Amino acid sequence: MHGKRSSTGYSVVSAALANERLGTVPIAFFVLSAAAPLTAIGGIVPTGYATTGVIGIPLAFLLVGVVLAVFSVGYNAMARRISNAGAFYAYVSHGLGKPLGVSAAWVALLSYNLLQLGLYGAFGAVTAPLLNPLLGTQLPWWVYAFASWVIVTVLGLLRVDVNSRVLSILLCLEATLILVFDVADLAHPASGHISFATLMPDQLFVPGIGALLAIAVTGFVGFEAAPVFAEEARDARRTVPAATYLCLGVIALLYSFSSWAMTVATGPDKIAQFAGSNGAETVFVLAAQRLGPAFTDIGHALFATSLIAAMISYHNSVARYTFALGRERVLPAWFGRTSRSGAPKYGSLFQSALGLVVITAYAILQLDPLVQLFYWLGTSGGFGILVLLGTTSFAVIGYFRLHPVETFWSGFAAPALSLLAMIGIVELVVANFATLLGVEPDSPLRWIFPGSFAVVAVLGIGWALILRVARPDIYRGIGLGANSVTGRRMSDEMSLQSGQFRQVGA
Amino acid sequence: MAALLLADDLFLCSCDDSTGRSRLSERATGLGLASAVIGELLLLDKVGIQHGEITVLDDHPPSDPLAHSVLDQLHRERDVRAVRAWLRYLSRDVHELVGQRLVRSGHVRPVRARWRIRARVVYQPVDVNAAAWPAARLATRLIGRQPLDDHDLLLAGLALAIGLEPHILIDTSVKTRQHLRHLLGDVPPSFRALMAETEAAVGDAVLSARG
Repeated sequence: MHGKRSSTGYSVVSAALANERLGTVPIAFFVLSAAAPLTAIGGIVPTGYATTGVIGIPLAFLLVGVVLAVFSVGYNAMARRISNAGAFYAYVSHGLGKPLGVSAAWVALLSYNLLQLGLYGAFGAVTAPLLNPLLGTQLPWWVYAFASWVIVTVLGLLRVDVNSRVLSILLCLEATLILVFDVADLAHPASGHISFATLMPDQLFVPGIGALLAIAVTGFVGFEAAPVFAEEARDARRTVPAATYLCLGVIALLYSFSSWAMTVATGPDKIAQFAGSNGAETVFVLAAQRLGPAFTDIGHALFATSLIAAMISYHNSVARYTFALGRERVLPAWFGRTSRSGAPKYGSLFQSALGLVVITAYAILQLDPLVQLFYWLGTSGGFGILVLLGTTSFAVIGYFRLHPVETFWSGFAAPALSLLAMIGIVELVVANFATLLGVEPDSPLRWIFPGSFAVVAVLGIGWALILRVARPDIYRGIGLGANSVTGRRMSDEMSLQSGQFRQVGA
Repeated sequence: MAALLLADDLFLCSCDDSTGRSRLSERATGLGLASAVIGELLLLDKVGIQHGEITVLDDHPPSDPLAHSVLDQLHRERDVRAVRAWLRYLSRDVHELVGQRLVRSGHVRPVRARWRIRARVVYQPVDVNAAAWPAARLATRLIGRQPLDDHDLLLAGLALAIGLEPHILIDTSVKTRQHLRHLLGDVPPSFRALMAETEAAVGDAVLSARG
C-alpha cells in the first residue's frame, strides 16, 4: 500500500496523460487542413480578382500575415492563461467583461456560420459543370450543394471528424498541386516575361485596398484554431505558439506566391477579366493550358475534397460553439446535449438546418452560387472574424492590465499594435465594402453585411445584461465553457498539471 | 437483489438492457465510470474531494479489488491531485475493468460485437430485469418522492452528468425531474464536486477538437 511517491521521479499518471498529447506539427496539420488551401487559392482568390478588379492580393496576404503574427503574440500569451475551446469569447469575457464576451460569442457564431454556408455555393458551382457531363445530366448547382449538405449533416451527427491522417494527406496533396500549378504559371508567363507588377507596394495604395485586406483575412481564417488545442498540447507554452506561427508563415507565403503566379500567367492587367469569365475554373484553366488535362482532373477532385473538409471543419466549429454556450446555459441547455456518438447533437442539427434554409433560398431566388453565396458570405464571415481579432487584442490588453504579464511586449505592446492595425483594416474594409462585394456604391448590401455583425453584437450585450439581472447563476459561468459547472477555469487545472509534468522531468 | 457497487450500477444504466450496446459515446461512458469508481471510494470515506482536488483520507484497502487498486494508485501518486487528471487517466481502461467485475459477479457476459470494423467486446447483460434494475429503482423512488441514499444520489448525479437523463428518467414528469434536481442540490460538497468535475470533463471531451 505504501508505494513510492511520484516526486521521487516518475508518475505513471502524468506520463500516461502526457503520452496522448499533441506536438507542433500535428496541431499545425489540424489547423491548416481546416484552412483548406485549395478553397482559398481556387475559390476566394480568383473570385476576389474578378469582383474587385484590384490586383494587390499577393501583397495583401503578406501584410495581413505580418499583422496576424503580431496579433498572435498576445493571443498566445492569453492562451497560456485561459484554455477554452471557444477561444475568442472566453478571452473577451475575461478581458473586457461578460457582456462583451457574449457579444463576441454571437459574432463568432454568425461569422463561422457565414463561412460554412458560403462553401455550399462553391461546392455546387464547382462540381455541377464537372459531374453533369459525366452523368449525362443537366442538374443545377443546388442539387450538388444538397448532396454535400447531406454528407455534412450525417458526418456532423455521427461525429466523424474526418480522420486526421486523411486530412493531412489531402493537405499535402493540395499544397503540392498548388505549387506545381504555380511553377507551371511562372514557366509560361503571359507576355514572355515574369511580371512583378502585383507585388509592387503601390498596388496596395489604391481605392479598393479594404477589399483586398478582407479577402486576405478570409484566406487566413482557421489559423486562430491553434489555441483550441492548448489543453491537448504537449507543452502549451511552446507547442501552440510554434504551431500558430508555422501556420501563419505557410499560409502567407503559399497564398501570396500562388496569387502572384496566377497574375504572371494571365498578365497582371488581364487577371480580373480572365478570372471573371472563368470563375472557380481560373486556376484549372491556366493549368490545363500548361500541364494538360490530367492535372486539372486531379485538381478538381482535390478542390471538391478541400471544400468538403472545410465545410465539416466549420460545421463542427459552429456546433461546438453552440454546445459550449448551451453548457453555460447562455443558449438553451439542450444545445449542451450530445448524441450517442458524442457529437454536440443540437448544435450540429441547428447548423445543418441553416444550411438547408440557405441553399433552398438561393435556389428559389436563383442567385449566383459562386459570387453571391460563396464569395459574399465567405468574405463577410472573414470580416466578422477580423472584428473578433481586433476585439480579442483589446481583451488581451484588458486582461493583462489586471493580471501579471510575462513581458511588456506580449502583454501590451504587441496587442496594442495589433489592435491599431485591426481598427485601421476594419475601417478600410467598411469603407470599401461595396468594392469587396462588387456592388454599386449605393447598394444597401454594403451596409447589410457589415451591419448584421453590429446588430448581433448589440443583441449579445443585451442578452448578457438580461442574464445578469434575471439569472446571476448563469451570468457567473459565462466564458468558462464546459467548466461553467465547476465555476473554475480549466487553466487552474492546467497549471497544476504542468507543475506535475515539470516535477516528472526534473 | 444483491446490492451492486456504484460503478456496476452506472455501467448497467449506460448500456442497453438486452443487447449491452452502449447508450453513450465511449469517452462519456469512460469518464462516468472513472468517476463512479472514485465515487465508491468516496462512499467508503477513503478519499475526499475539495476544490477540484482529491485527497486520500484512509489508505486501508477496501474489499473490492478494483476499488483497492484505484485507492492504491491514488495513494502512490498523491502528487497528482486534480480530479480531472484522474478521470482522464482512469477513463482509459475503466470500462474494461468494471465490465470484468460484472462478468465475475455473473451479471454480464462478454460477446464479440457485430457490425463493427474494430473487433470489440460488448458486455451483454445476463438478465434483462437485473440490468434494468438500477435505473428502475431510481425512477420508482423518485416518482414516489422517496429519499435517495448516498449511493443512489451519486448514481443519479453521475448519470445526469454524463448525459443519461433521457434513459434513466423515461416516462417521468417534469415534476419528478425537478424533484431530482432538488435532491441533488442538497448533497454533500464532495459529491457535488465529483458530479461537476464529471460533467465538465464530458463537456470538454466534446469540445476538444480532436474528437
